[in-house]
Amino acid sequence: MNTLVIIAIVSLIAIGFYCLIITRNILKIIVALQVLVKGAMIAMILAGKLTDQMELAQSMAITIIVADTIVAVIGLAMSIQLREKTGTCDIHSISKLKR
Amino acid sequence: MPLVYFLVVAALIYSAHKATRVKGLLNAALWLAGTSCLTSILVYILGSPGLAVIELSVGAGLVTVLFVFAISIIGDEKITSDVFVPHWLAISISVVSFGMLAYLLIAQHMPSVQSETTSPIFSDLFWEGRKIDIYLQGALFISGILGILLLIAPAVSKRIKEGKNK
Amino acid sequence: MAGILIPFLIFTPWLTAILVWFIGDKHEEGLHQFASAGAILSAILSLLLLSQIGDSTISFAKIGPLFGNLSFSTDALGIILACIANCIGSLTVIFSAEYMKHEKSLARYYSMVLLFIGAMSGLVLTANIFMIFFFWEITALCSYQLISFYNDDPNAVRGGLKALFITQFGGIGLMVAGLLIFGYTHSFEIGRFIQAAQGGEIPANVLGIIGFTLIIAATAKSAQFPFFTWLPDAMEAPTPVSALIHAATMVNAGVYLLCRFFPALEAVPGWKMTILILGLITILISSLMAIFATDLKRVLAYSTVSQLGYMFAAIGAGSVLACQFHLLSHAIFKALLFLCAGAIIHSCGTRDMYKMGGFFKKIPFISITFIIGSLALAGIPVLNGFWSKELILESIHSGTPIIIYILMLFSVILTALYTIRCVWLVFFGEPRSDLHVHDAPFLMALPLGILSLGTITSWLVFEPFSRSLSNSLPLYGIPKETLSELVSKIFGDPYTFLALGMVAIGILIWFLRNKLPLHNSITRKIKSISLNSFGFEAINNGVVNGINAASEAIRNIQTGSLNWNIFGMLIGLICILIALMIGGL
Repeated sequence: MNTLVIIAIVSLIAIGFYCLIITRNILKIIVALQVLVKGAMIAMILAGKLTDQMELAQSMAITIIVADTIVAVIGLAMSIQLREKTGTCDIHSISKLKR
Repeated sequence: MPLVYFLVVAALIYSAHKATRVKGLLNAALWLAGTSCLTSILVYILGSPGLAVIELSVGAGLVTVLFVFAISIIGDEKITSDVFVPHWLAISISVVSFGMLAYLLIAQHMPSVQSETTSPIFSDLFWEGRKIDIYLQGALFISGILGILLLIAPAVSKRIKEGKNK
Repeated sequence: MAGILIPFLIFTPWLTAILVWFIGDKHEEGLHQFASAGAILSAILSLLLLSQIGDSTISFAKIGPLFGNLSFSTDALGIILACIANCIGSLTVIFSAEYMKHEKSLARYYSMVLLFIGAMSGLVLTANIFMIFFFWEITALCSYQLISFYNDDPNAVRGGLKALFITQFGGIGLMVAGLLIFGYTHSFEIGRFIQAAQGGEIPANVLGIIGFTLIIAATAKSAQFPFFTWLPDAMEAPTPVSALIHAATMVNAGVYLLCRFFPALEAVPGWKMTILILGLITILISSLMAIFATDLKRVLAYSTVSQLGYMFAAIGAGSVLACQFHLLSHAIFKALLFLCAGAIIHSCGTRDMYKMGGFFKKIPFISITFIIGSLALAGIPVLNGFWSKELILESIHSGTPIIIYILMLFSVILTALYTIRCVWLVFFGEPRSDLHVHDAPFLMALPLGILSLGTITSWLVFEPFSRSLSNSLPLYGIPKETLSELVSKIFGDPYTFLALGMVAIGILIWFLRNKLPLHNSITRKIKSISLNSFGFEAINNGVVNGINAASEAIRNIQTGSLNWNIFGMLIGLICILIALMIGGL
């Protein structure tokens, strides 16, 4: 069953990255980041179970949840600002590099 | 017992896939809430109940509410700019890289760390050992929420005014 | 005491550079005075450091398990070079107070010059190979910035980029050598490397690779045979910068590198002979090019390249003492020549020697100082160039095959020839065009006077020079000689008079140039080849254009799009995973 959990972790991270490569809508990017970090959190818990140090792993995982929540909050606020200032949700509209 | 694991993992992967690929942002937010619930169940059966509760309340509660709030302000729209990386390339590179990672993990080829220390009680470790960390995170959390409220206040008030004028 | 002086010596110019940057371009007077004060302070500190010469190594801090200690050594090789860099640096800064009056972006100029002086002190004082590389890269950055100082001029920008590419190519050689040394001795300390090499702990082929990559680094930095085309194009820099960086300090870094690693590598078969041959080819090629050049600063640049070739030949013959003594003399008289050229160019506005002429009566002070410098360059007795050049010729005569000595004598003729040509075209004869010149103001004349005094008298310090080198560097095999021994050895050797005869022949050729059958097809062919820098200009231009084109092509993958960047991240992850799968980390 550890194999199954490893498959779950890797799939979540892969789905998160795939969505990051594909999407151009800024809110979808935040959804993808959330999925990615959930995979990382499960990995932390699995590591705690395997090395029998569940307490340390739990405190690290709480840190991960806090960080990821803050990222989601600030990301949502910035996407609202992006929409207000440029009128679109497209991330390519704010990039100014010559192409 | 493995059946439970198998069901939870399968549902988790399906709901994560739907969260990223479904059309419509509100649906994506709802599938994300479902993903949070399933990871919370997975974490619980892996042996960490406290974390499961936290994940449920934060992931399926706070983040989903914020998402719905933001989506109601922003609204849905079609994106019309060009794609940089074609679909087939994206799928293949994700599958290849993480397939290799999964192979390395499952076949035990990753370098492993041995644990030497004895494990203390959780609450002791959490509130005493990582005290500074926890207080810092709490302060960050609260200041983040307050800052965000300040940041989006003009946008929200504008929407409310528009709603009133209509 | 030395432990306090050395950090101060490096940080004083750097602190002055930062403060100059903050003062900005608006307060020009204050900028000149503050920069000069900082440079003079560091010069005084370096002279104080002369009293601390010993053979100890001071280690300040550990930079971590990977990079070794921040260690500095107080031996004479480093401290003498640090003194040269700081003193000539301070004279150059004083000169720039007058030369760069009313120029734009002076803050950038002074901060780069001061940053350079601090980095040069650090380069020669440190005993850790990684720190040598660090300071080496800082000097390369400052040199590029200062060559392209007039950044509206496309020639200046092009010259700066060319200097950067060629010297960075040498930097690769230094990095490879440093990594190999770390791999085989597990520490970055130079002392440990010398001990290991002399004790036979390093396999012979690895030592050979280290030796030859260090030769590549030194030849690129000191503008020797395959890499010599960047120095003449670097003359687009303001003249005080040319005097400091491209005559007296940065180009000496290559020579310093070879001298520093000399005891470890002298036993490598073919190492010394390679250096000797490279030096010899450089001397001959650059002297030929100097004879036909028309730009005053280019003649001085070619003569710098050829004098550095003399120093390389001295190392190749095995005499570190002769090389260092010539380095001291060359720094002084070449800085003098460049600053005089700067004063001339500043007042008459052109660099073309064929437009000058007959300046001797109009600007007597600059003429006399320039003539003193050029007499030292040609090797006329009593001036410091004579003693150091004779020392090099004597060590080559006793240590190498006779054909090399004959070629060196031929190069003495060429040196005298281009020197007298330069002096004659600028100062004597009829004025070739109507140019207005005026004599140097006080702030320009002061460094010229000090440097010409140095040219006349610097050979008198030979005895403490050789004694301190020999005492503080026990492994280098440097003999102790007194001044009277030197004088009697040089005047007692009949070959000295042979060399003096060659100088006389060179001067005579110039005066008899219309009577000798020189206007035939051979000289015309040599002239056209040397004006094209023997084909190396074309190669270097090709390299520079190639690098520019490659940079433009790579710019296309920097799209600024998130999707593309994450894609690149995953490709990197695949590379790491492949490495894990193949070998294990």
